[in-house]
Amino acid sequence: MLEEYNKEKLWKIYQKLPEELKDALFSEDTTDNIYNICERNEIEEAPEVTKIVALILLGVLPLESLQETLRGELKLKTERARKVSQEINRFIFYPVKRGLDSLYGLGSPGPAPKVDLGTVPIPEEEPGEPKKPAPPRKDTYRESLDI
Amino acid sequence: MKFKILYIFVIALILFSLIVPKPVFAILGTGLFDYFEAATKGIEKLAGPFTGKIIKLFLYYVIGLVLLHTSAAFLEMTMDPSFLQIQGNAVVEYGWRFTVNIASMFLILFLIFIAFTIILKINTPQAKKSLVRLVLVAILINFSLLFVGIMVDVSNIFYNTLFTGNADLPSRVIESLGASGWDILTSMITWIGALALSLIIPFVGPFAQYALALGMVGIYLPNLIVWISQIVCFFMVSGMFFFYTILFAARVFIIQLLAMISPLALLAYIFPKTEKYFKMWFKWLVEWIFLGIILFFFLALGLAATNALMPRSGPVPLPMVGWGDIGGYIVYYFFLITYLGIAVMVSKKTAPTFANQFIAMAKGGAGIVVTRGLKPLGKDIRRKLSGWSAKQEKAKKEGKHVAFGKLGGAVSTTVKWGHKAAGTTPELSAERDATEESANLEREFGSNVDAARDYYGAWYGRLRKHEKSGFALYAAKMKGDKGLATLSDAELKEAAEITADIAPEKLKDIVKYRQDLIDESPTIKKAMVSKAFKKDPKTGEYKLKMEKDENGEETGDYEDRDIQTMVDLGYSEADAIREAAFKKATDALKNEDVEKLGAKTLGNKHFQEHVARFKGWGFVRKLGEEKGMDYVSKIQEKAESIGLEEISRTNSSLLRAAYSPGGSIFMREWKEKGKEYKDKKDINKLIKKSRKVVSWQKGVDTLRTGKAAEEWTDKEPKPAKPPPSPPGGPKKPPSTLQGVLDAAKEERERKEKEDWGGGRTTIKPKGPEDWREEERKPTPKEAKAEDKRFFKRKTTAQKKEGWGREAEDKPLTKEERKKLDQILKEKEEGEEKKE
Repeated sequence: MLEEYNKEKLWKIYQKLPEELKDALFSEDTTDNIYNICERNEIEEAPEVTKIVALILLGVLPLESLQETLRGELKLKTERARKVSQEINRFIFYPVKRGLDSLYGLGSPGPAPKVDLGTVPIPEEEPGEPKKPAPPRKDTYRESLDI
Repeated sequence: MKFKILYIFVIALILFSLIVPKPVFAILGTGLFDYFEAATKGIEKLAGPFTGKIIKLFLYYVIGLVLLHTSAAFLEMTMDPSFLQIQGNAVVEYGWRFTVNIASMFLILFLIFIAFTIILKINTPQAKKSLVRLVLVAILINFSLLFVGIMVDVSNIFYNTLFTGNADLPSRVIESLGASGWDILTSMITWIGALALSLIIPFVGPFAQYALALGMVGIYLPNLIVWISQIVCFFMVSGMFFFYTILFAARVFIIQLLAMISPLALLAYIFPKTEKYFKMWFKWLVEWIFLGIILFFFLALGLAATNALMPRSGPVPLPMVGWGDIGGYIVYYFFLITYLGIAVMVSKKTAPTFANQFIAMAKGGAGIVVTRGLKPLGKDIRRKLSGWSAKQEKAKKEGKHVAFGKLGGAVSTTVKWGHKAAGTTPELSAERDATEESANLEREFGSNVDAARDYYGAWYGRLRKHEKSGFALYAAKMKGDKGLATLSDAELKEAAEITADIAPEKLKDIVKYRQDLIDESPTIKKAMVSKAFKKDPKTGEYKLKMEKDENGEETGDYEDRDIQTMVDLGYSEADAIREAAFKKATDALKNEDVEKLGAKTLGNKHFQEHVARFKGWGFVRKLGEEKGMDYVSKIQEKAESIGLEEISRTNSSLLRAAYSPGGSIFMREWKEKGKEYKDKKDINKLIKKSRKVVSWQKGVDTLRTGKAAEEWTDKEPKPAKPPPSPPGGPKKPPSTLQGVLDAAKEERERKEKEDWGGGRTTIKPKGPEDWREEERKPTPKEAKAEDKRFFKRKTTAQKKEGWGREAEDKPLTKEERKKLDQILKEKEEGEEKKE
């Protein structure tokens, strides 16, 4: 699978990645997690899984295609592929969720939006007694007639 | 016959040489000229520097006196209250009329604006308030200049109170301080003239010089102290006078400017949003008007007091007699210098808002007087003496001849004592000079090393040593290899060698970017590992320091860890020293220095080896990011050539990196001697194998002693033993209700752990009150509280793993709280059902 991708192009992609993803790509924790997941799920092709994870972190493979790719490349059963992809999502991709979101252009969740009082809708009037008409306002421009 | 001719020839030659006339002095006693000439040459070496210093002192004295009189004249001019004119000043009136016209135009516009806001009923109360203010401003605007004039006149009442009787205070101070200066100047000219004259006379010259050198300390010293103190005072007082002059002058112009813009300031008063500008204008006006009073108060107080302290008699410019007067002068100058410093400090603190900018400008002007006059004098003397003393010490250490013998040694020792009192050493002082030079360049040129180099231009060769060293340090700090490339190879080598001499601690900051210098210069190589050497007291040679145990006996290892490491790796002592120098240079590199590395260092095989051996993966990755992953391949090749087993002992992170996701794409698998390490497990085995020995040092011992082969095997590790079965056999299914509840709880926790992927840690019991320890069923309230705490903890734990919300530990949101309540309800219902 990796043969399809040009190393130099991948390197250019790597250089533009956010720092979070760069760290995750070379992190020992990431490597350990991948190998632990493979061990738990009795997968021997850990180097292949590592490469798939790398391509996702580089943004070359979509995140959603992880399960399908595992099924296709490693010939895993659907249930096992689902479990492995779930664990990879949890242990490897979730900690760098923000970076991946920015990479895939989904936008990070960000802080809660500030409420602009100007946009607060005027509350609807509760049905109740009909409103009394307002008394007529004094016209300040009207002059008194001195007759 | 032949021999006879030869003999005759020889005799004739001798007779001829005796007969030929020689130039001799026929006058009686003139043969003594040669003796005195020789004596003069001899004594010149000692007395020459003293004479030079006296002449330098004289020049500084003249400059100081001139500056003092100039600054006093300027200060008197700017101090005069009549210098500040508001009304009657054509410039102020013209400016004021201009701004009044503009303000009037804006008044109309503001009136229209307020009218519209009232008509359209937009923020009516505020508009009415503004209307009132507008009317007020329209009336006052024409009197704004008068009001400013009144304020100035009020301040002048206070000012004149202080000024009366003190109008010529600067001149009086100059008179008391500097009047005797002219006498001293005259006496100095007389001294120098007499000395010069005495040098001309053949017999008297050497004796005069001898008397000068001999009597320098005992006879002339009090006068010298007084003169030096006076020079210091001249520069300080003139510096302060210039400082005050600039402030007083600035005050005048600022007040006039504020008077000119007073109509616009009043205009700003109309609206609440612009009111702050009016307040700012008013604040500045008040501050600057009253600044003059505060400044003048301090000046008058201090200078009047110093006049009282001035010794009655002027300093007697005669040798030995000066010792009697010196006490009074020291007190006088000490008070003056201290007071001037305090006055400047207080003035700065009470200065108005942008007086600081003027103070900074004043520093540039007045400070030049101090920094170009006083500081170079002091620095020059200190630097020369420090440099000389450092050389003396170095010569002593190397067993070389100490210049000027005992006298030179005495001066050197005195200088060392002086440094000790200041908490430093001559060597540290020299290092500080170089560092200071570097800091000055950084301040002046920033990161523009080319501009700094161009600034020196062709004069670079004439720079002093500390300046060359400082430039090299600056260039290295700013741009690394590129910065050092502004110097030619010869210049760089010279600068590095000077740094090795005067600031060996700083040498690595240069060499780390140009490691090729280590091989080019033995001085640099030696300086990089200088701390590893010590002088053998018996032989006088320099040898490597050996490590000692608690009993003080040598262990056989070198004290310098880097040299020891290299020896352990199999290098000879000489090569180990060189490799240790390279290692120290490489160790000095940080990740942020990588971008400043150049081709000469990157291509250096020693650098590549040390990176592969000792620099962690973070550094290598940075190298790859800056210089391309091809460079990482080079490091991989280098590591493979050294041997992966060796590398695994000191740099296992480099080995492991090839099996990370990034490494699987951009690096290749490690291979060695036909063996390929396909995945992380293989490399971990190699690392484990190399670390089977307890520590690196022991591993090295086993290497050296050849015991390694016995300890290391290729056998697979034994499989882990199965966990022991619990006492009393395997667990039986629970028979009691409590047992069922506990089993269910355990199962629930196990499932949650699986679901959360290990995010939940076991809830630690708090104490004896914890219901788990008591093994009773928790009350619903306790369970709810515990679950709430658990969820909060989980949120924090999740955050550490990158879950959940942002870095701050925010409280649960409404939705989360609802979800939590729902889960708790379900749990309670579930438990009730089970019961």
